[in-house]
Amino acid sequence: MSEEKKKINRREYIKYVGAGVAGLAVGGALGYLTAPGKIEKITETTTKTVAAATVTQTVTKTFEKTVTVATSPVKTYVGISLRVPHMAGWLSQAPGIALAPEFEKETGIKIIYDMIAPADVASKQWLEVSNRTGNYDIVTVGVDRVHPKFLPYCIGLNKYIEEHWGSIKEFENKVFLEPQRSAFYEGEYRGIPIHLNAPFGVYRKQLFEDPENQKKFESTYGYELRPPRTIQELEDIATFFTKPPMYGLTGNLGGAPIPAGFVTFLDRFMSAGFDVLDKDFRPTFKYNDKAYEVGVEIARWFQDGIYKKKFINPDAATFRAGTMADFYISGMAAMAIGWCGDFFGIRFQEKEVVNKIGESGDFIIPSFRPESESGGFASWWMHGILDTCKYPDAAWEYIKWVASEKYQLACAAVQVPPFKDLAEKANKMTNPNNPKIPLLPNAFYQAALKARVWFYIRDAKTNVPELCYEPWDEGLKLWGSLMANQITPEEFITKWSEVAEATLEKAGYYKK
Amino acid sequence: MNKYFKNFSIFIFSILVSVWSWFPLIWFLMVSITGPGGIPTKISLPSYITFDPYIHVIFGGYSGGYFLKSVIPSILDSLIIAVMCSFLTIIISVLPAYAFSRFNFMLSKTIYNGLLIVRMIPFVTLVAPYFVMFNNLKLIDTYHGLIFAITTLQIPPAIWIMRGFFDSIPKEIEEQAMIDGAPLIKRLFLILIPLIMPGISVAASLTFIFSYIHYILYSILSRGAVNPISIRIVTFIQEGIVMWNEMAATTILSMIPMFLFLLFLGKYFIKGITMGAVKG
Amino acid sequence: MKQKTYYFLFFLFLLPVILYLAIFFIYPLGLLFYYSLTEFDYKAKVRYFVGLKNFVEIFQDPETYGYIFRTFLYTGIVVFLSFILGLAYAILVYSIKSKLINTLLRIIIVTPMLIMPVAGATIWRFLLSMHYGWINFILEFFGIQRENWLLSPYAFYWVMITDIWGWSPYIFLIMYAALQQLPQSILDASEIDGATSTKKYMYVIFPILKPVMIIALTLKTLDTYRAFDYIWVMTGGGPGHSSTTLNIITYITAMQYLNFEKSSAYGVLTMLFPLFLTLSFLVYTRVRKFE
Repeated sequence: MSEEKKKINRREYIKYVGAGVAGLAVGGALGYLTAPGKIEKITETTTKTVAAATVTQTVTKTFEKTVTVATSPVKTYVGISLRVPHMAGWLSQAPGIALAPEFEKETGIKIIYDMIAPADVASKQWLEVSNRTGNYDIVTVGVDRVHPKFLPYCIGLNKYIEEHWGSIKEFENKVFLEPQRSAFYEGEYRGIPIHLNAPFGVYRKQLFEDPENQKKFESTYGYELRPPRTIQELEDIATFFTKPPMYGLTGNLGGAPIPAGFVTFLDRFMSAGFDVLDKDFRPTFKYNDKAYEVGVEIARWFQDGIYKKKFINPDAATFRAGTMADFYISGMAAMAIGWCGDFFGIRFQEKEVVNKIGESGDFIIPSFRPESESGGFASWWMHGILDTCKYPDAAWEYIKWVASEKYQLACAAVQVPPFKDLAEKANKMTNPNNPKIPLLPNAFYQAALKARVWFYIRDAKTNVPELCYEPWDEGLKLWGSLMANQITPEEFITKWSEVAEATLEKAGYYKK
Repeated sequence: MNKYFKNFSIFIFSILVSVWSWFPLIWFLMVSITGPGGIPTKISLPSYITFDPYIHVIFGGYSGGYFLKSVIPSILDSLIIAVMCSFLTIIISVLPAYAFSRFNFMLSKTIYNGLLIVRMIPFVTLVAPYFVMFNNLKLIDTYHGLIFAITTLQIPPAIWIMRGFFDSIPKEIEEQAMIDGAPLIKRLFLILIPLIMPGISVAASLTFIFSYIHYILYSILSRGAVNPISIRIVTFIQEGIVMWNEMAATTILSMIPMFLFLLFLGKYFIKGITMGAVKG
Repeated sequence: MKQKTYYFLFFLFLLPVILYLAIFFIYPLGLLFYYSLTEFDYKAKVRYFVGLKNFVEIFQDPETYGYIFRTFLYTGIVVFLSFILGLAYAILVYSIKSKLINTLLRIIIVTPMLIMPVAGATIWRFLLSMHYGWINFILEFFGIQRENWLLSPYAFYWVMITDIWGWSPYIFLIMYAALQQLPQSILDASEIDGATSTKKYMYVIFPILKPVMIIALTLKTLDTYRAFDYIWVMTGGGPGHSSTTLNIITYITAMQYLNFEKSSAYGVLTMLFPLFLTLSFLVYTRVRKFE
């Protein structure tokens, strides 16, 4: 009896397993059939050279204006696809990316973008690159923190640069050199810039041009009401316009995990004429009295601005660029300083916004040490070609195209073209949404001309990529504490110096 | 008197619970029907109302200079993954749940508790190993890849929940069926599983919800071809512009399929109860 | 049943799960342990074995103990309050006879769990701010001063409140399903015996529900132990380190420092810690038994 029962049980069970496997097979088949198509196989490649020309093109899809731009000779390919990771929702690059179909038509190279959420852009690319998967052909990395790690995996581009620009010297003359230096590794440039951004200020014209305000301001402060030229003026104007819930000044001063606030601090510190490290790679905060003084002054100015003197709105301590812009658009701030470039060209010129808060003007953020005439922080992104890419020539075609006038002018409303001649051209064109202002706002252009990258140390003439990891993150955290009024400016400066020094010591920068 | 007091307190608590659960959502609802600068700051309606965010998000359109693609395909993607994941999880978990419930010796207890570990791993630490593994198995950026990944994490709770429900069925019912001559498999499928229906629908609902709202593993294991809605929502938070209105509209749209799915499963709740009542 | 059939059947039933987990869990877990014992030199592009160096670094960092403490603090408070709230929801809905209101209330209660954690955390971030903050508005009504809560020392606690708001429906779903499974006969019997509502709950229902309660508690504890989304989006680790838990630092080490090896070490630590505690507890109770 029990033997029979066992047999029945087993048979039943096999029936069940069969059914289960069948079910899983059906499910798997469903999943497989709904899976996306694979990337087309590369069949053959032929190249053909198409001569240079001057063409008329639409600047962007949002603008309906046409502009004459020069194009350069292109090679055409057949059957090649390039896989390019990019940051999803990146306003500054969106107009250029929208032109990709034109590139495909011109050269025959298919571009397959992988739009990665901003928070994962670096880590996802790093996983692919460090594991040598070969799934990407080009990398898109930004200078703030992570791209030094990618440089050893990118091929040297010097021979391509010489081919396209004539010589390395020519290239260095055309590009914004200080940021570009951060892409130098083991004798060659490994990246071509695609995006440059620098902080500047915006203000609401209707508040500044109102005769009532002008009279009151002049009688209180003794000079006429106009965009600020010194830090004291910035403070005065901000205090003047502050009548809660409205505030005179807002900014993207958020702490960790947002880079914005710490960047604003670095931007002001660098524009006062200092690097964070001296030529011996020691933190200037600790070893240079003047640097310490300025650092504390800047940190204190922002902290007091929120808590003691209250001319900066309290929420700014958590703002990233987008929330700052929203606050500004809602009409609650007279001025905003920070990453305004993303919004000024398009969003601030939109009809609804102008109806609500009037027109916006731009101004250069005053320096804490104007005599230094130094540049501030630049955010700089590059494309590099990975050494696992099978078709570096085709990848170079794409990069050339991104660096070309066509692409950069399309993006010029919301970023600075990272090439000096293109930036100048964009500054001379008018903004299609508002013919009264240039396509590349003056303050944006001026800020970008002098801006530089924080981990290229000028005195030591070298990159210190180690600054981009622990010191960067500690900086974000310490700034967050500062903005939460939990530490003093002195503590902020001192603690950061300690972390920076410890990190560099571990990396072997200080030879005993 | 007691009855009125009881009804009244139930009424008050219901109101409190509803307000507590829903007021953040109402806020988001208001954000979704306005534009930049219109987000309400006092407890009031937004300063101007426009349905642009919904239109942009459903049909695609320009917002602040950036072209948005429709989110409907993303919602479908997430639905496919979530439904298949629930399905797969339940299939894999039912038998082990029964096994743990009925066979309760030392080794079984150890394995049962050992499943704890699967639930203790932070998702982030799985990112690098999964990436390497899935890349080698060519599972990246496919529906089944994501389904397998997320199912792994849902199996232990499904087993645990269903085991709990198996436990609460008195042994007498099973013994009665055994005496009636039903073999193990028939007992299992015709009697116990229908009784477990509330448990299965709970496990299925929870699995569905978890796999729908999950984010970290999806972002690493997809490369553009599969677009779960949870990633789409995160991409609205950019370095520059943050599209709150569109993000709110997308979130609200994304919740609709979940509501429908849960309502659908809710029917099973009722079915399970009536069946249980008839049997017991 | 014979012993052999007994074991055979048991393992046959377990086969699908064991196979599945072996592929999709044991192997990645092994990779995890392997990574935690290595370091990656990005310049030389090699991964090399360093033994316990990552772990030593972690334990030498004074912040680590704060992370561990905060992880347990978060877990303890959130699980306790979520459980009470979820149970209250279940009892409330169970007491409602009208089917329409019952369904409506169930939908309303479950909603917070359906909002993507990113979106939910963003909403609460807005609500807690000075400029947009409804919460400040309401608190002002009660006489509490307006403050930027996510920058205050209480930031961590507000994140806990958001987590409770978002995940108590989880407990509710499980407990409500369990309540629905209660055999009507026992309830009727207790009513005949003259039990009032409260007594009925305390002495009849809760004991029956105990196994399900334990399961719900365990699952919720494990999930909260790994809580990440709400904390990350709301405070990113808080002003300074004040809301950084083990999971947050694991994420930061992986995604921002791009140091997947040290992050794996943190992950191993996150997993081992409760195991270590449980084992010591088991050993302690065993030892006591012998005394």
